Amino acid sequence: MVEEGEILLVEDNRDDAELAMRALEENNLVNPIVWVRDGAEALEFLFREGRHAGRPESQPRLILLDLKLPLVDGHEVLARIGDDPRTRLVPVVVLTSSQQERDRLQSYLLGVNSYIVKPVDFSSFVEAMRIIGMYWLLLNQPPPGTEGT
Amino acid sequence: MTGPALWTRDAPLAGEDRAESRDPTPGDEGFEPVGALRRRQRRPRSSPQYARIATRTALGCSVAAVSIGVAALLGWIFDVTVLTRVSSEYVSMKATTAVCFVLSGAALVLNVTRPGSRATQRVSLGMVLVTVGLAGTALMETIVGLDTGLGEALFEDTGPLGARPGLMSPLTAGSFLLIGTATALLWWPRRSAWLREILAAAVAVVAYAGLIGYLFGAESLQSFGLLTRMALHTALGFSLLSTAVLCAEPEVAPFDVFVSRGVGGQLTRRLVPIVILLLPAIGAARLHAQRVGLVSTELGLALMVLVTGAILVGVVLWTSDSLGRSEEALRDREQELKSILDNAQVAIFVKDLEGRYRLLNRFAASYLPEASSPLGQTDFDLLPAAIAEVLWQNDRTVLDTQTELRAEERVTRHDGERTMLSVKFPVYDAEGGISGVCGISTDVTDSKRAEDAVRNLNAELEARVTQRTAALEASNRELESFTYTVSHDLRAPLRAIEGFSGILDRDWSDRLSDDGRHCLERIRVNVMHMTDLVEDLLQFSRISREIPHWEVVEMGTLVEKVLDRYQEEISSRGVQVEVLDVPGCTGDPHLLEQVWANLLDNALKFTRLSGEARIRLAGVARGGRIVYSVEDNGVGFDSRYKDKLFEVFQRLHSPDEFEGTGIGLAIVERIVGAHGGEVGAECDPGVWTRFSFTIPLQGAERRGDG
Repeated sequence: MVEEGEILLVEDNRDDAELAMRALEENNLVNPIVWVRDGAEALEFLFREGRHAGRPESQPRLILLDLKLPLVDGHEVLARIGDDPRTRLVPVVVLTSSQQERDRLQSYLLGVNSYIVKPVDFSSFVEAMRIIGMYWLLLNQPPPGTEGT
Repeated sequence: MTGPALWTRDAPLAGEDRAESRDPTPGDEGFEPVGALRRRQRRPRSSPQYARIATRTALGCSVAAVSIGVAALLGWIFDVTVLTRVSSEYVSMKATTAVCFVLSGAALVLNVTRPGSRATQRVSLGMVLVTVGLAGTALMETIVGLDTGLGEALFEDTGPLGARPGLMSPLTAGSFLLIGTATALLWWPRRSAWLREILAAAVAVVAYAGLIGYLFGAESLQSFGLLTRMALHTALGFSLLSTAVLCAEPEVAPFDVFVSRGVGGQLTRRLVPIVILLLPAIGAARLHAQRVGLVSTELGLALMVLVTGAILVGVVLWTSDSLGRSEEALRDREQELKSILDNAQVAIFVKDLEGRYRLLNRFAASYLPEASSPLGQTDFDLLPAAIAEVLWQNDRTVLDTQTELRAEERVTRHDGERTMLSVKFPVYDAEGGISGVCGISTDVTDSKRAEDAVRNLNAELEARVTQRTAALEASNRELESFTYTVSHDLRAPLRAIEGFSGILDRDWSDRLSDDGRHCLERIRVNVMHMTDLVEDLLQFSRISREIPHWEVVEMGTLVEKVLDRYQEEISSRGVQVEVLDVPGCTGDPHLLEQVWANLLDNALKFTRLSGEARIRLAGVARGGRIVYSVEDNGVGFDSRYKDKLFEVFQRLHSPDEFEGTGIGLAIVERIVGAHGGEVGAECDPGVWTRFSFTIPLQGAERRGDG
């Protein structure tokens, strides 16, 4: 764990966000977690605008994205990420409670890297977060040009 | 029928046209069905019946002429005066003449009996040639004064009369030339008709004159001032031959009037024989009566005029009467036709080649302006030009192609535009030439309107169905989004409660009192239950929307798969599971697997308290469907509430006894219903419980219901 890139958590439900962060912490992942509560702020963060204008010019290692979000929904965020060369290479994992086929299909069409349905019971949730962290932050080799930034 | 309802231009009875006086006998060609009018040949105007009689007459006359010749020859051979000259005061029939009669008669017989045969034609023409040769030679001898000896080649002529022994009279010779030519011409009946009939008629006149001359003892009439007279039976022979020639081809003008079916034919057939035969007979009778002194010249003449007049008047009356009767029959027939035409609720009309109305019935007239009679006028005079043009185009097509035409035509009537369904076909005159176009038009305006109304109504209904469907789809979408909302929004707080209470339980339970831990435990249990409820409800609503994906299902394999899933519980509890024959069916394997799973889940659940749990899975085809069942020896249910078993959230046991959401059987019912089957449950509480479902065998055919 030499490089600790940020994890961007886009989640409007503060309970879910807290549980997610707890789950990540319980799995001893040391990457800093940035939590934004809606799609608009997520975009501001990624493109260093508005509230996040002064942010250093680096992209997160992983984006955990809920679909049903206020202001700008998850699909829209996905589309914007895929459209911009600055963000196109950042891995995105959809973390949602929606099991709708429609959502799943649309997410993949928009180029999502992974689609995870949040398990309801906490222990399963913790386990899922562990696997996600292990896989995307340790096991998976990021695309060139995104590591260490 | 009143008034001039049937408007016709050519009064059918007034004209002299032969077609108007057709024999009105039913079955006559004149009444052939309309369809037969299409593309017809020019029709002969003769009646086949009379034509047959004429042909037979021709044959009879020819045979008789041959007999006369043969008789004369026999007379020469055996020197029988009666046969050679009939009476000793008369001239003899020369042997050459007799031969000529035999040959001419035979040629005619061949012509009548075997028309069209090449061989016969050659033989016949040969005979004619010999006849003409003999006659020509005799004529030459007379004119030039030669004696070839041909006259007495066979027999020596010792008769007292005659210019030169054995030489036939120039009159006879000339007649043979004419009749021979006419006979030869018979082989080309149509092209030479006039010439042939004139030749034959000339011979007939000469022969008739000869016979009359003999009858009245007028010698000059017999010889026409020429040197020799014609023998009596020679004259008779020529009348037979000329008759035969005239009758041989009866259907060719001008003598076809004898066999025509019209008034002309009737009159000719009746009057001509009377004039030809009766008048000489009366005259001869008068002459004889005067000669024997029975009457004076004056009285004889008076009597003759009287008798002749009476007979002629009688014949005229007789003929007129019969003609009148047939005309009356025609009138009756016409009246009938008029009634039929005028009461027909279709427009019937006939137009001539220029499109002028020649006939139209009352119904047709009602579609044209009332002001004047449309007869003699065209559609252009009566209707707007655009409409008339279309009608005329159709008429023209019929006239040009001479075929039937079916078309929808539009006309304007006083009450607006009408649509007519017209059948138009050519009409022909009696000669078989096209004379106009007949149309029969049905007014289909109302039925078309009704049709349009039905069509509009259908379109409207369709639109309404589309609208309703759209509304239904919209509400379906709403339901879907509601389900989505439920899935998302209920699960999030559940996860939070579960998560935080889980952390509390795991990390902080040692800080809680027993009561606190109990409360936490109850929270945990209820959250779990609610989670199950939400999950099941979502599954239920998803299945309600799902359309069965039909395919052939190996039910045995499916059951094994489901059993595998529960294998752990089965073996750990030592449940005896028996799988009897489960036949395959057609259905959605994924959904049917769900059915088996839910039923097996139930069976396992409710046998938990039984000492030795037994479960039996089976299937049997019965009455067009397969009945599958899951039987167990679990606690069962109270049969009084059987109907509630398959309802959503209905539970017959308390959650403390058996956990569950009350959705499993509702899902089973939904899936089986979507397959066109039924569910059932029977129970002897504590002994056995049986849940069953049916799948129709013809499941595949229900695909369209999807």
